[in-house]
Amino acid sequence: MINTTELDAIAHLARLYLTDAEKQAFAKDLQEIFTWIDQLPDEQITPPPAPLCPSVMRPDEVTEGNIPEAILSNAPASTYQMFSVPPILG
Amino acid sequence: MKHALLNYDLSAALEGLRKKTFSATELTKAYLDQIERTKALNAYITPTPERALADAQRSDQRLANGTARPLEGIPLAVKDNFCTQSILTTAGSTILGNFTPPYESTVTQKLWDAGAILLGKTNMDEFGMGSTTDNATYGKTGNPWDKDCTAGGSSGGSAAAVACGAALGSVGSDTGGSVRQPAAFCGIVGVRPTYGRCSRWGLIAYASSLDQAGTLTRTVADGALMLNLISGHDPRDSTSARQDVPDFTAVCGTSVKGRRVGIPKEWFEEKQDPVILKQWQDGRRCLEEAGCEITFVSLPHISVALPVYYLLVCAEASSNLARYDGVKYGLRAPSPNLMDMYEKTRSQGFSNEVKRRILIGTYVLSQGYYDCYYTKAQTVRRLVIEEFNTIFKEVDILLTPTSPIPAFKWDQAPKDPVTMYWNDILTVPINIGGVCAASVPFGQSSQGMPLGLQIIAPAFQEERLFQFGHILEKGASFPPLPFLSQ
Repeated sequence: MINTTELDAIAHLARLYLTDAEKQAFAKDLQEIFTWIDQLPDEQITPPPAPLCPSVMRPDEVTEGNIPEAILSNAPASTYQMFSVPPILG
Repeated sequence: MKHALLNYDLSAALEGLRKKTFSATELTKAYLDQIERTKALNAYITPTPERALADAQRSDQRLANGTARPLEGIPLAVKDNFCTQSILTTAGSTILGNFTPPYESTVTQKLWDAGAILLGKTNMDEFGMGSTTDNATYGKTGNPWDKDCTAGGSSGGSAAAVACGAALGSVGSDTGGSVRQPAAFCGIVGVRPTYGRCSRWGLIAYASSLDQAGTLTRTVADGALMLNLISGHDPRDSTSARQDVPDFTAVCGTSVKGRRVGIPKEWFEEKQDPVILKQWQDGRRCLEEAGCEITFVSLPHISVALPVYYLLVCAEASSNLARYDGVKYGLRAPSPNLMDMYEKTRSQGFSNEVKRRILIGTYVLSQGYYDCYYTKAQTVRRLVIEEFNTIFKEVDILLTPTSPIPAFKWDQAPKDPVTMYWNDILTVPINIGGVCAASVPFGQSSQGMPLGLQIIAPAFQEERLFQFGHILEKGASFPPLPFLSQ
């Protein structure tokens, strides 16, 4: 069962900040959901599950490049045709 | 009074435009007026009237000079998770509240290349995660049959727009029933083609192994016409199929005599609402009268397709939605450092349902849980696929209700997630199983809300959806959409 400490770790992996009230509510929801999910039967199949679609290869060629303005048009912040972000160590 | 031009369905409107009974501009204006008249339903997030009128003028020129294309002058709505160049595309999320794509999705580009006119972008559950179109940021979409009821979801805006006469047709996306269920709730036709039939290029990703575009229209023939135009392989989507696209309209009206129809007994034996059970039996009778042979069939793993779906969909969503980090596009929360910015941006930009699914997905993909959840779900998914493959050697289609319940009032919406997820039980196995399905209006609840019957066909056999759908449509005695009698 998922407790709030475990939920803290998951939220960090998912890069989500949760308030204490949210943690309690989500821990309760997830417990209910996983109780339901645990009804899944243990099945074995041969061969083991693999991707449903085969990988499709294509030539490693630029087809629609050189459009930095379009790519940056929605960026919250950009400088010198690059995305800019707050300091990593701050 | 509504405009008389709204009486034409898509196929009839095309004929009217070609015969010059009315112009594309007149038709588009009638639809823009109806969008205003039905604003209270909140079907649209972003109407695009200026573009629509400019496109309609160009269509009129083409209709006049003999260069009209297959959908020339037809006003359509588009779910707000299809990228539309230079037009706000939110996917129903705060995190994309200011996102204006620099490119166009393949599905919508095909519609514009065919001459269709964009009326606007429609409301939806955030990223497609839900089945009520009760959107925390953009509001609820009401059902045209009863505005106090849900239009269904997640393509609820697209379904409501067609059902209230605010679009001649629309495109939606269906990851677990998001075209078929709102179509059923709103009394229209919803088609979810096979995974790979339509390109996903520019369709904002939710669960990439399950997402697929679909159509919402007033009639089965209209759905066939639209699917003809949005199908086909796309080099930009490696999962789009290299399959020939037949003319789906050609089978509408052809006989189904001697064809075999399966009823999944696992669902039939479950406790069903008596109204839904009667609708199902009436549908069987309709196909029997058309000369079909009805048999009960068994799909033992179909009942566990629902938890499989929620495991896979959450796992894929947690991965797909990792891109919303405040760096490249969308919302950015002010913050002194990068990690804090990520967490604040995502916490402010996602609603609770999206956070819940990201948390589930992150959990099932995390070390120590991957095999007992994700691998297990993939294993059962494979068994569901094999069961569909086996059953379709015995029958041509499967027939089920689309939803175990009719559209419900907002205050009767399930409060806990498991009960809410349970309402998708009849639609998600199709996505898990890699087959195709359509919902056709058939019957009404005791409160007069529309019900839908679901036709399920093997992968890339969408023709059967239209062939059998046409028979059910003719046999349904379904009442006209409410706006048609206003």
